[in-house]
Amino acid sequence: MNEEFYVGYLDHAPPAMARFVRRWVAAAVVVLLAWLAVIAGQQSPMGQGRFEFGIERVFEGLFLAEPLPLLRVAAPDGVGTNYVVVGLGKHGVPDVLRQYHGRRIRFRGSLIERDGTLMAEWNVPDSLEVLSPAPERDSEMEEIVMGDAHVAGELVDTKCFLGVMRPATGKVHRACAIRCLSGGVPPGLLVQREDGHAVVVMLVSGVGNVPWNVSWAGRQVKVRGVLVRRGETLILKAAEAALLGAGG
Amino acid sequence: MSLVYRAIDWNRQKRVYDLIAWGIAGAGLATWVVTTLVRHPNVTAETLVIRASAWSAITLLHVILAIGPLARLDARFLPLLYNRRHLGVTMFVLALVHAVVATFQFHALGDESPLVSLWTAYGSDAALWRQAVEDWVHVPFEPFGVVALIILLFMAATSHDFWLRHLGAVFWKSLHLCVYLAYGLVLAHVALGYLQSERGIAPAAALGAGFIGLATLHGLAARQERRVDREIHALEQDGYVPVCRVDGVIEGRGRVVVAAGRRLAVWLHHGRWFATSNVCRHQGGPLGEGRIIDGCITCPWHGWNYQPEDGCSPPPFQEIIETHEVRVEAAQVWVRSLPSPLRTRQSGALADAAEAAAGSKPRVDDCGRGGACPSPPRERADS
Ligand code: HEM
Ligand code: FES
Repeated sequence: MNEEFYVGYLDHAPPAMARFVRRWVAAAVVVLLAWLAVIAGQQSPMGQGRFEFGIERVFEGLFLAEPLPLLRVAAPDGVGTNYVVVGLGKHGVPDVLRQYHGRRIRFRGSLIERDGTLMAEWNVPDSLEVLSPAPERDSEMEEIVMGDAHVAGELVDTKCFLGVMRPATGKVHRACAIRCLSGGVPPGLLVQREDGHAVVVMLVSGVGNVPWNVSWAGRQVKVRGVLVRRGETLILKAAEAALLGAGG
Repeated sequence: MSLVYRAIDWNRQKRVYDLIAWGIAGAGLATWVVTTLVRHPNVTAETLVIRASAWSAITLLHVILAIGPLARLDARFLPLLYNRRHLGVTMFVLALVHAVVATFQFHALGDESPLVSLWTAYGSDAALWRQAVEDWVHVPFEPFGVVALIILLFMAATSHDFWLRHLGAVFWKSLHLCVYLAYGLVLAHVALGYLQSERGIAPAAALGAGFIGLATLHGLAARQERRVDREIHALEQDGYVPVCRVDGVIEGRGRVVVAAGRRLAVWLHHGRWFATSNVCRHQGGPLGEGRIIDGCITCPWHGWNYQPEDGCSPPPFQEIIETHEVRVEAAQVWVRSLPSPLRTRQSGALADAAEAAAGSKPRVDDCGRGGACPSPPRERADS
């Protein structure tokens, strides 16, 4: 029979018992820290995006509100680059900006970037300057129709996917993607290219007809529509969409 | 006898326990953070905090659930059981950090209040719910975490002895058994969320091994207790049942026995045999695993005291446990299966079988008066 007796209010545990506990605690700590390290080490890749949180830049260019809020920024060599424009937090571009469709504007905000796809978060509201009094045209931004397309992929919110969150896809991120889409962040379809690389195709809907439901975010969705290009930005104009594996 | 009623105190044992517990929790967080930064340098700070706190919390939850059966299997684990509540509160704090940062990260700064969004984010599409009914992988995972957190919050908030006293031991104990429910909910939370998003098998394997390990420990502890029960034959003779042999207990010690399906504690104190309820009034600690210190039965869990003769706590304490009549015949200890009226003062059966029959009739005493505990008043353990 074990002669030692432990009562918690005593200041010291009996020595043999203390030794026993110390040994077991030490072993348990080693096992549990190893368990944590293995689980942490096995996390899936988190995505290559980047978000210059807290860093302000000036964005200046020709703004298109439709079909997708895009800012065409001219480089010194004359070739333009598109920035998708979004608002703060889980919000798309605010309505005040939409009225300047076709104008040159300038604002301060932060850069979001992934694999060469660029996005500007307009997060300094009073920095907006409208530079051209009337709408302008930019031939590089004319819509080029690529053809009918059937595309299947994960419905993502492009702001998180391009770098605000890492990771930004899958079931753990679904609630956030739903909130973002519901707040007007442009949706995208994440498609696996043949080389295994994932690319996002910007998704827009016809006026007054949104064929998907925001709660499909983070799920596999198939979309039928017309693929168009504005500058280097690929846009899928959806006519029909359905949740994959939902019986149609 | 002058009484010193010492305030609840932090003794050395508790401080050491807490420092070690926090040190280990900190080491867990650090392990996660460092490993992640090495493997995924582009992780965001939010993901780091959400996952480090979540995995540290669920790891600690496994430890908390393992300590109970370990202490039942080997009494040398008792120092871990004592103050286990502190581990529970530490785990709750980690889970709270996880939940608050996750709620902010995934639900805040949008077009809906985060606390509403937690419940409604997935709710707007009927097709989705039809799918969830058809296939469990589509069931949202966050509500399981929210309910688990609420349970853990109640447990952490009522972990102090103040609540134990005001809610009553039975209610308190039932509330705290909900930790198993919380564990199940957290497993569902992770299985329906994280495990579906991750490709590696380590997290699923770890949680599976954790579950099997905990189930095994609980099974072993229950089997050991059943074996003890079987040892004790329930052959009743005029209200008495034989519970153990006289050489089964040593002076100053108790032993857990079963009499007519109830758990009792028998004691050998100054050469006389006594029997009491095995359930401590504090948190239901197994008194029979305790010992008699300075004339008082001392609970192994938090050190509450009872006099073996009448089951009363020494004054000024008011708690009383039931006592049973005992007799010794043919080197066998017999206990009356029905308890005596509360406060009955038992004279105890003499260890010597010949004298056992001469044991005088028990008498009812005024509880606490003339208590047999000259010990310094116990310091009530409050963990
Ligand atoms: C309000 C309550 C809770 C919410 C909103 C919540 C939310 C979340 C979210 C969004 C994730 C996925 C995060 C990611 O991987 O990026 C997650 C994962 C997880 N949660 Fe919770 N959770 C809650 C409560 C809890 C509780 C009480 C526990 C208990 C320990 C817990 C344990 C875990 C674990 C272990 C994971 C997997 C690791 C991780 O992904 O962080 N959660 N939770
Ligand atoms: S259970 Fe706490 S002292 Fe007995």
